[in-house]
Amino acid sequence: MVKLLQGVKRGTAVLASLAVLGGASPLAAEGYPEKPITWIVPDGAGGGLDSIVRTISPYVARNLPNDANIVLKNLPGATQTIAVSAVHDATPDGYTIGQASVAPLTIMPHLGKTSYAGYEDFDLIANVFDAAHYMVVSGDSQFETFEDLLTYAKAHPGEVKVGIDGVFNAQHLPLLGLEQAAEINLNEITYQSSAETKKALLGGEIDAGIMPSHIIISEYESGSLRPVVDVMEVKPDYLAEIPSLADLGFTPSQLFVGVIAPKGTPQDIRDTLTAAIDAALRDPELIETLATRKVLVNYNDPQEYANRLEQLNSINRQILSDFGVLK
Amino acid sequence: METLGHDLINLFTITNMLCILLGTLVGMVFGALPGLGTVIAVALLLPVTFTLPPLAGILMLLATYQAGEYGGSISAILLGVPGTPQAAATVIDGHPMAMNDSPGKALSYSLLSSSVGGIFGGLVLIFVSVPLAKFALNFGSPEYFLLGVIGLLTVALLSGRDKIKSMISVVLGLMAGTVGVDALTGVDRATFGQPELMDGINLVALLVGIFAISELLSMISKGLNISYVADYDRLKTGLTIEEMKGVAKPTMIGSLIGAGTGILPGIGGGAACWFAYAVASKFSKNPGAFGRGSAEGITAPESSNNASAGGALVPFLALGIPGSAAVAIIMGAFVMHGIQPGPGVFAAERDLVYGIFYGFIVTTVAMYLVGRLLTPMFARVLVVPNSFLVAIVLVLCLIGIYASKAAFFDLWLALAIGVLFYILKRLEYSVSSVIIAYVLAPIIEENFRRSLNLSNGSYDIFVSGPYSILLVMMIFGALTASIHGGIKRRQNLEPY
Repeated sequence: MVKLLQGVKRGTAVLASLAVLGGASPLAAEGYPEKPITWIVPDGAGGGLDSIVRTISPYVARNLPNDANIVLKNLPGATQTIAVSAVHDATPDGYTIGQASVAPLTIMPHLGKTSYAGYEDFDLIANVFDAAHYMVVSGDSQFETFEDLLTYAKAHPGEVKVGIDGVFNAQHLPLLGLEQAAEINLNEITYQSSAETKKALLGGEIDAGIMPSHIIISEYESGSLRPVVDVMEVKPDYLAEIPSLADLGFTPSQLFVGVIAPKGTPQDIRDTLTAAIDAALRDPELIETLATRKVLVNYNDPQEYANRLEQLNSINRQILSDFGVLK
Repeated sequence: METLGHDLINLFTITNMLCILLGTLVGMVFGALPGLGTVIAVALLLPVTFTLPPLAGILMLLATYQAGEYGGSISAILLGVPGTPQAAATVIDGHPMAMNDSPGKALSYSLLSSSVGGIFGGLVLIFVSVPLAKFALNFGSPEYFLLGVIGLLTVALLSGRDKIKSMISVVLGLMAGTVGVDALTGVDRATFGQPELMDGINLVALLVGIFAISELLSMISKGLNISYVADYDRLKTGLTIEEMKGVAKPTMIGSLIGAGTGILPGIGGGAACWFAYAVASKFSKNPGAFGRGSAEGITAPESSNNASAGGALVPFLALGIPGSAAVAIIMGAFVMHGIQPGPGVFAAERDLVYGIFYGFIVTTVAMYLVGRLLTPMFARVLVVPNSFLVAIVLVLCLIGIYASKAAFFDLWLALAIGVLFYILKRLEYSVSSVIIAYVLAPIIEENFRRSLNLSNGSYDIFVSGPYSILLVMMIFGALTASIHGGIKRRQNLEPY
């Protein structure tokens, strides 16, 4: 009774965890899910990430017990931190999970812009997919290869203009890291989106730009744009011939998008969710749909997902610290 | 039936026509509901298209886009509340005409000019999309900055007699436009620690606050037991040939400006409607009527927002760069089917591209027909007594704001903005100046600073290309003309 009163006082979150601690429900997953699961999407309806989650979620629901129902909730904005904060503040009962990319988990916390301290404040469910971003030059550029660009940039500090789609994000940090590692000084030009970077590059306003692999396929085939190096860890098969930073002896960056849950979500419920995502991503039908859309599926279990976040987190922290903006 | 290498039989299938019809209906209704608008309508239908053949799905979204652009002006005209940002300029003349003359007629002007604009945009798309898209690439950051400045100068054309109040309005709009995380440094500006303000003031909340809530407050203060229109004769929707001829010039101006701004990604219909309005008033034989229910003042912005829809598809199909937020979502339907827009698409997906070209014209025709059918019904809204109307509109607006970002904060924001603008309107500040400055502030600021980053701080970049020199000359020309005009007016006024 005392327990219950305390629980009511501190809110349902505490109540739930006390119940678990008190052994009232040794197997929380028994009967789970009893009601619809809310999956928070850090993107507006109709956006790129939104439509990927919208495609995957029915397959995940199908692989959950008890005819599970998944409801998507769009909370766009503020580099995904609004959505990730909502996951952080949710009751850890397995009925709220969220999608998150690397920026809100490994960059924004270091800038002092989040209510949570970092990825450690969440229970990780699984990584779902990766993205490859390339440094791209125009088809008639003097830079045939990435080495050409490096050599020129070394001789002409601050001259090479490279477009990125925002500051302190998953394109900006790899570029800053690369400048440090290669001992070069580039002129970073910030745009609002990769589409704008592409327009600027085609219009000759910048010398190079960082862009996701799937938006340059048509230009690569027609020769109007030339990717010179993959700055991320993964490589899509349609650009397999382009070297990656790792191929050239640099540390690649990583851009991966996974599913997280509020800290304290019961272990067996997390296992159930992880297994459902794993099974969904093995479904040939979903694999084919995602392949058509150039999504690079990359399932990681919670441990592997945590290792990758930890590694990237320390890299990003170092870059931000060197840049003098660490909070 | 083979036209320009495309088999039109593939276009006129029952599936395609039904999809266009559904898209048109959804677009028109969502466009007319303040706050929901075109982008939400397109996003809503996007998952539906995943199960359809590519052409049918894409045409459905294009029909939604087109009809949404017209739908936004239905509420702008009838209620003084633009359903979409692109219809904001339509309020200025559309609403007075609906109140004082005929709501049916105002809607007919809007539908006619929207259709002409839509067809014009479609023709631009069919005949000159590739060269135009390449031409648009000449407009880089310095040119965008200069275009933004020209846009701000049009405020001078729009503003009322009191220049000081008009300048204060512009400053308010520019200040509102700087709220949020600075795009170039990542520093928070005037967010007061609110995460909801990090991406700036939500445009939907701003528009609903400025137009809807302040309008509802003044409806309440005028008394609730009246309705706008008591005389059913004024609901008639027909236009005479004479009346159509009278708006030919502003419609052409609007179509040209709409298509021209549409092809420039990031400028968009929200600015195009104001450009069109200002230019049409400048070239009108009867500029005095603007702002008091002028048919020209309705047709110019209305043709521009539909022409910008066609224009926004130009860089998208030719270069894979979406020209507006709605087109960015339509891109999702392409990606879903594994189609990559860009230089290769004309060769690889020839049938699809031509299907889209001609289908786009069909969506305009569908918009006109559905619009003709529904206009008399929409016009009847004004027969509803204000006591009902205020409540219904307020609920719809609040739903719209919440639907746009799922943030309760925005509801309070809209209410605060509404009260502020109720007072500012009573004090005769220029509402349109605030909005145009708000829309242009990020374009001007970001492109100015980005240009200086590109040139390492040298101002020469603003006069380094043929187009930037031309734009600078236009700015000086407009300034000289307005100063000259001001001096002349002052001389004429001297006897008083």
